[in-house]
Amino acid sequence: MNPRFSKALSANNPNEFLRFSAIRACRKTTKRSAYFPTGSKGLGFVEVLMAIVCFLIAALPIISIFSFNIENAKVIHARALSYSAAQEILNQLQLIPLMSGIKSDAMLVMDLPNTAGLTCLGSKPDPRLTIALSALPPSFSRKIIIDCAKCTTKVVVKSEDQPRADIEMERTMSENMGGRAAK
Amino acid sequence: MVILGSIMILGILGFSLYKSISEKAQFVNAHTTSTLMDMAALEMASVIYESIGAEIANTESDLFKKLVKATSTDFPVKVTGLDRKWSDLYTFSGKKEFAGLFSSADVRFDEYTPILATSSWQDPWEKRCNLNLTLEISLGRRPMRRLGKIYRFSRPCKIQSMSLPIISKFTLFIKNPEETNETNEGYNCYENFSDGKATQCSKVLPMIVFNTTEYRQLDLKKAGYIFLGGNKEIQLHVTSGGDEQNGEFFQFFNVNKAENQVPVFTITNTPNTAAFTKPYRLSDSPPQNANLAIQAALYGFYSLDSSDPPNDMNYKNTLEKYFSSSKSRSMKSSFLHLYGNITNPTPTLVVGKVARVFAQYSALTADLDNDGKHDGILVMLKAPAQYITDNGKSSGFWDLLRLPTIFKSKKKNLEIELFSTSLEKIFEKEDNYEQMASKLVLQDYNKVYDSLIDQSKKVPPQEHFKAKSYGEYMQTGEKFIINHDDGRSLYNGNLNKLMTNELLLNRVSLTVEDQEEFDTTFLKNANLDLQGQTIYVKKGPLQLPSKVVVVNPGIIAVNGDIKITGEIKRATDHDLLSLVAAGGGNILIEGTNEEIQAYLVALDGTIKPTKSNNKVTIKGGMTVGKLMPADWPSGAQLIYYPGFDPTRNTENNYSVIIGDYYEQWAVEACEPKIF
Repeated sequence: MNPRFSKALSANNPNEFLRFSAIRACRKTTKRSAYFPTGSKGLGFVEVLMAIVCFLIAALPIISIFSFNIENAKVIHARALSYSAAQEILNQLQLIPLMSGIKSDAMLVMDLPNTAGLTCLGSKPDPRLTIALSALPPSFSRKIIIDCAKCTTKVVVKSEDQPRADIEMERTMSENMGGRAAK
Repeated sequence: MVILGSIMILGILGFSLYKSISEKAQFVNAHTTSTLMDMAALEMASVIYESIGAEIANTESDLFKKLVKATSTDFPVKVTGLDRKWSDLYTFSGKKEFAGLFSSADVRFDEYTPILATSSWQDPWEKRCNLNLTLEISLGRRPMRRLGKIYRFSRPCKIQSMSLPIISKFTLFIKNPEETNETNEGYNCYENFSDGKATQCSKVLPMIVFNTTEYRQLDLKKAGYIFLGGNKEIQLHVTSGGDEQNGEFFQFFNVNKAENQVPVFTITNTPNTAAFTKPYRLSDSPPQNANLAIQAALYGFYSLDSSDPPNDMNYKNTLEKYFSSSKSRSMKSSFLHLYGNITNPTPTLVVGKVARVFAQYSALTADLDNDGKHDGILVMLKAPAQYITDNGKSSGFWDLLRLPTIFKSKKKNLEIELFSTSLEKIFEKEDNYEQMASKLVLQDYNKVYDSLIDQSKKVPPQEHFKAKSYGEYMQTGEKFIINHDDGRSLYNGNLNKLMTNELLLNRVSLTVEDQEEFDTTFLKNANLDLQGQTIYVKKGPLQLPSKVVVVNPGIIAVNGDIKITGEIKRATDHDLLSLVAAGGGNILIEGTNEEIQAYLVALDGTIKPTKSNNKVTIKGGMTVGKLMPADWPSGAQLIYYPGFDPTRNTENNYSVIIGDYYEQWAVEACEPKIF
C-alpha cells in the first residue's frame, strides 16, 4: 500500500470510515467459489422468473395507483371546474331578485352559454336579472332550473368527457323580506 | 432473501403510501366536508330567512303580532318551534353527501333601537333591530373525522307603521298657508251668494274637508286634525247660507238639529239701562209702551243676496265699519271648509292660529203687547265707520244713529211715531250701543265645536271643548302632543318645524332607480303591489296609471314630482297608500273628477289638479308646503280615511321587514356535536 494513501486512510478518509478497505479486502480474497460452494448450481432461470413475478405482483398495485392518480387528476380538474362554474352562478343568484323579477308560477329551465359575458335571466333585457359568466370548455354545458313555486334554484353543470364531474347544486332563494306577501 | 427483501421494501413503500394517501384523504375530506358544511349553512340560512320572511308577511301570525307589540324590554325575541318546518325545506335533505349532518339553529330578533332615536315622533311599536341566526353544524362519517362549525348571520330588520308619522293624524296639513286676514284675501276667495252657492264670477269652488267617515262623529280624537301653520293668524270667512254643498250655516247649530236657515237669537246680556229693564215709552201720542230687546242674526260672508237688485253683505250699510274702504276686508268667503258641510258635519281639532269670521246683525225690536214675542224691528243697529277715530268717539256719535220716524208693525198692523225717543235715550252710553251693534265676530275656530255639540240653542253656546279635554281653543302647534288611544305617547313637538326628512328617515326599505324599474317591480297590470314596503324612487317624476288598485299597503317617496293620472283605489281597508313628493317635488293630479284613495304629501311643494274642470276627491289626507286656491278652480272633497290614523293603529297597520342582505357573516370552528 502506498504509504501516502495509508496515511490518508489513517486520518479521516470516509471510505475508511465506511470500511471500504475491508470490502476491498474481501473482494481481494473472496472468490465466487468461496461465496457459492463448489458444486452448487447458482440462481436458475425459474428462480429469477419467480422473483420478477413476485416483484411485479407487489409492484402492480403501486403502478396502478400512479395510473389511477392520473385519471383522478383529470376528474378532479373537471370537478373543480364544474364546482366553480356552479358556485359562480349560485353566488350571483343570491344577489339578484330572481323570483320577483321573473314573476312566473312555472318551472323555468334556462340553458346558459359557455362563452364569457353577461346573460339576462329575464324574458327581456333587465339589468337586475343579469349575471356575469366565465367561459367554460366546449365539452361542458350549464343550465339553471328555477322552481318559482318552491322558490328554489338548481344549477346543473355537465361534462361530456368526464360524466363523473357532473354536478347539481340546489339552493333556496331567500326572496321573502316580510312586509306583506306579494299578491 | 431477495424475495423477502423485495416484499419488505414493497411493504414499507405500501405502508408509507397508505399513510400518505390516508393523510391526503383526511385532508381532502376535511376540505370537502368544510365546503359541504358551508353550502349547507348558506342553504339553511336562506331557508330560515325565507321562512321567517313569509311568517312576518302574514299579519295574522303570532310572530308578526309579537314583534309589532314588542318594546325595548321584550328584546331579544326568540323564534322557536319552526325547526322541523325548516329541516323539511332544505334542498340538501336526503342527499348522501350530507348524511350525518347535525345542526341546531338559534334565531332571534335582537339589538333594539327606536326607528328615529332623536325625533320628536316616538311610536314605541316602531323600531329597528337585527335578525340574528346562529347555526351550529357538524358533519363527517367514519372513518373520517367529524367537523364542527358555528355560523353567524345577521340581517337588519324594521318594524314600522304603514302610516307616515305625525301628518297621518291630519286630514289637511298646510305648513305655510296663504296669508289670510283683513287685508290679504288669501283663502277668502270663494265668491258666493247669501245661500252659499257660488256666483258666476267666483274663480274657485270650496275645498270641503270631511274629517271622519263616521256619520256625526263628535269625538275629536277619532277625527283627522287640521293644521294651518305659520306665525300669523289665519282668518277664515264663514260661507253664508244653508246650501247643501257649500253653505256653512250649520256651524251655528247642534249637529243633530242642523238647519239651513239663518240662525236668529235674542241677546240676553242687554245693557243695564231703563229701556231694557222695564217697559219703555216709545210714543207719547198716542201713548205706547213696549218691551225692547235686541235680536241678532248670524251670517257668513257673501257677495250677493237674493233680493232684486241684490245687496252685498253690508246690508243697509249695517257693517259699514268693516267694509268702508277699498283696502278693507273682502266679502268673499273661505275656500277652505274645514268642518265638512250640512250633509255631513265633521268637527275636528283645528291646530294653528286659525280663527273664523262671521257677521252678527243686530236689531232693536219691540214687543208692544207684552206677550213675549217681538212685534217688529225698530232699527238695525249698524256699526258706523265714521265714528271710529284713533282717539275714541266723535262728539256726533248719536247724530247719525237715528231711529226711523215711524215704526211699522206689520204684525199688529200699527204705525207708531217715534219722535219722542232716540237711540241715545235707549242705550244711554256709546259703549252700550257698540257692544250691541252689528259686527264681524272673530273667534277661535275650535269654538265651532261648542255650537255643534250644544243642545241648549244658546248663543254663545256653552263651552264643551275644554270640558272634553281637547285643550285650549287656540293651539298653535308649537308644542303639540299626539297620544295613542291606548295611552302610548307618539309625538311631542313643533308642527311648524316638520321636515320631509323626518317623515322618511330610516323608513325606506327598497330603492328603485326610476319609473321603469318601479313599474317592473311593483305594477302588475293595474295592480299596485307595494308589499308593505317604503319605496324610494331616486329619479322622478313618477307617474301612476289611471284605475290603479292598491293590493298591498306601502309608501312611495319620489325625488321629484308625482303624477296621478286617474283613479286610485284600495283593494281592502288595510291597503293604505301614501305618496310623498320629496326634494321639493309636487303632486299633480290629472284626470277629471276621479277619486284618489291615498294620503298625499308634498311638504316642500304643493298638490294641485292640472285641469281646471277637475273636482278632485281625495280619500286619505293631504299634507302640503303651500296650498294655493287658484290651483283648485273646481274645488275638492278631502275626506280623512281613519285607516291612516296613527292614534288608532292596530298591529295590522304595521309592517315587519327584513333586509335582503347579510349585514354580518361570521364562521368559527367548534367541537363537533351530535344533536
